[in-house]
Amino acid sequence: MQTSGIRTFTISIAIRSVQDEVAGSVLRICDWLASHAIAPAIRSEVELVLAEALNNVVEHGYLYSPDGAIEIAVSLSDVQLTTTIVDSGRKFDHLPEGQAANPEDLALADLPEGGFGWALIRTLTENVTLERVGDRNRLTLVHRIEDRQHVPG
Amino acid sequence: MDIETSVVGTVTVVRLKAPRLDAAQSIRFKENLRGLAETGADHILLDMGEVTFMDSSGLGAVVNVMKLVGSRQRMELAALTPAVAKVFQLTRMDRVFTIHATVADALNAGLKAAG
Repeated sequence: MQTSGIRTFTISIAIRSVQDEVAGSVLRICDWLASHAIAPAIRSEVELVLAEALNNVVEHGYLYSPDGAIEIAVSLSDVQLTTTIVDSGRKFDHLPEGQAANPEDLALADLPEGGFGWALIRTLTENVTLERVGDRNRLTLVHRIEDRQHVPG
Repeated sequence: MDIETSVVGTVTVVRLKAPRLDAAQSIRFKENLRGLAETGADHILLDMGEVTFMDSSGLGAVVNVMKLVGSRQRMELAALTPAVAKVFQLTRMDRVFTIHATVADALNAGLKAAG
């Protein structure tokens, strides 16, 4: 007989839509993950995904206005890491696919300088969902960690 | 973003002194490198050994500088840390840039090409 001893730890951070605060919140979350013994390789991926998703809110949600509120919550269980990012910026209609062309096929002058973010987010997460909750956007990102925690390095 | 430059033969080695090449740093990075590209340095080697994090904004800034340098000059990269190398791989931009494991490797390759 097993008791369901699944423990979940959560961290919640509220920031303004300013790039320095985005970077600060990402570092705080990574430190928190380290304090819960999450493997460096996983922390590295989470760091990137968080930076990409939050940059997207700053750039496209709040159009670089520094006055926007962003709420970040990360929940950690034995199985997965779930991040929710809530903002009151412009309505986020749909999740972009991400990078289309193979850059090696492009001429130098045609190389993209942006648009990589969503492809990175999709590749590095198990699941990404977008919801509209009242006048707010809620992005949920799931990282699976169960099988990866004890892989060395 | 602070940079340190040194010239070795025809190669201008640019060492980035910031640990994060991200949205907060990308404009400063582009400004710093733009000046360098405009001095007409023939062969620029970006030493990224101190950069432990790069996101798509940072990558975009590197691409921007690469395009600025253009085809008249050459820009190559060296000493990518694992997290940074991963972003180049995931975006397939590692097929667009010439990436050396170390600055020494890059300089050896450059010297052989020149000699």
